[in-house]
Amino acid sequence: MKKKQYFKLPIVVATAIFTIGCSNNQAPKPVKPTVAPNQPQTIASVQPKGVTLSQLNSGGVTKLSLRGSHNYKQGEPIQFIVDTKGAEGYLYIVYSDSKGEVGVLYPNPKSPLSEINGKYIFPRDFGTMAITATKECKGCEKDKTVIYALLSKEPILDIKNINQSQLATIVSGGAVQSNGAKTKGISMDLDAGTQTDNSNVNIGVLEFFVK
Amino acid sequence: MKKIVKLSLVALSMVLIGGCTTEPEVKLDRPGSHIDEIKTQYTTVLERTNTMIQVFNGEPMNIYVDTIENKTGARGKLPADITDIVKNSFNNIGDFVTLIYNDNSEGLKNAYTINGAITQYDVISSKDKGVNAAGTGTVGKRHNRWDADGSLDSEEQTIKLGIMFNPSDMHKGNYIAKTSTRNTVTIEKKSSANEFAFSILGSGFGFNNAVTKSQGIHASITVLVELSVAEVLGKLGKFPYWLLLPGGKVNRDVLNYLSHKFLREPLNRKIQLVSYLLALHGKNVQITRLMNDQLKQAIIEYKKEHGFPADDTLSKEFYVSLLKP
Repeated sequence: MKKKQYFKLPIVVATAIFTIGCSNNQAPKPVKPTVAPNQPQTIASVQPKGVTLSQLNSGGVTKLSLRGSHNYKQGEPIQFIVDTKGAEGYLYIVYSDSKGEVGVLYPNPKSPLSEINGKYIFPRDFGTMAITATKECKGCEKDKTVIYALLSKEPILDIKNINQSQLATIVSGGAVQSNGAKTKGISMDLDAGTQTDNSNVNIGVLEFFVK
Repeated sequence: MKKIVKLSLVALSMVLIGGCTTEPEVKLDRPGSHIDEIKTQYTTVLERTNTMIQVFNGEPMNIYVDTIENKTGARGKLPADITDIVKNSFNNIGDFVTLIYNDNSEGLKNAYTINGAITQYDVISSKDKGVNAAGTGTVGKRHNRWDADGSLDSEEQTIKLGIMFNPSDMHKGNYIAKTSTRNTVTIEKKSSANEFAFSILGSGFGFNNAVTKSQGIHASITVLVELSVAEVLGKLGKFPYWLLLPGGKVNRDVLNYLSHKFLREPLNRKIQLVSYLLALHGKNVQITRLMNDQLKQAIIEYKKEHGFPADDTLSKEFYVSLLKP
């Protein structure tokens, strides 16, 4: 009788280990699934960075090189060279015609604004646009157009609203006035060596006539 | 009676020790004898390198591979000469890398000689048998004959293997500054199931704690060569090779060069670079030199995701962001 008990004990233990001991191999207990409500991913909108036309200040100096022909025939393609002379910035090409109308040639919907530094041929290096010379005045000998290249350190947020007077203000140096004393046709700036350049736009100007 | 009790206890112990062991056996195929035929998940790096050279350089790079030998003392454990493996990697890239038969570079632009060597072979740890650290043999001329796998069969080992490339200008003959590469593969071999793993750390790539099962030491060397080839080409051609693979390390010199150059590019080139990089970042765009609605949307989407104002302006800051992994 006792012999049987000796046999039974280890068998019971072994059976218990088989069934309980290897519980690590058993399938994990099912977890009740929870459904989290779909929350829309919100991305904080970043406000556009840049300056407005009224904040532009060229310091009254044309630091940008704009070179090209001064005479075109009607229908002839217009082309000129823009050289930033080592400065980095966002380029805008603006024209002003004899009627006083002002328009932005670059950037445009097909040619996005870009940061540049170097020498470029316009319009070849700015997308697929083609610009041709046209004469608006009837009966006149030639029609004058002025091209302005503006290289701004920051994007100009309201460039689409640019007009003749704003253009004139930017080219002349904006609100910044010099401390110069003017006598007998010469100008002297007493602080010329100590002033810091606080201009934020470089300007280039090119005039041409269409015959 | 005592015997019966002992027998039962032994049986119980066996159940305890053996019965609960559930470690799955990993079976991976060992590589064949033809190393060139091994395809790994990283082989796409070379295919993608071709497009990157095309987009960033626009013209082919001409490469001459000089003899690349095992310059460690580990004779017999490694191939004595891996020149053919390196040549094969360059040749697999595509039509924007031309492998030159001899070092006559007359009339060739972008012509480089690749010099290099296996510079490291260290057995870091070994179980079951004594450590067999880097040996003292001399470099042999038994090209592509080696028995690394044979020496690993019955033990767990961790091996570090390093390859160095040092390119030179084929016209002038001088080494080119800041273009050398030095990458190391750590190969782990487990004795139980013919299992290999490897991780790569180096000047251009790093898989920290990312160990990948592979086909063994042959494949590990091939992958190391392929990644080093992509890196050395990227440094020579100055393109962002680190974007070709997760874990790639940004090279500051190349990044500065690219960001500086971006400003000087005409608009259509800028659009081409941006569209390519957006595609590389997983955006659904075609590589193009002209702005279109699909590209504009992709630019705006990317900018929103990365904290830029949502517009299509191509700024240097935006471009640099695209150049980062």
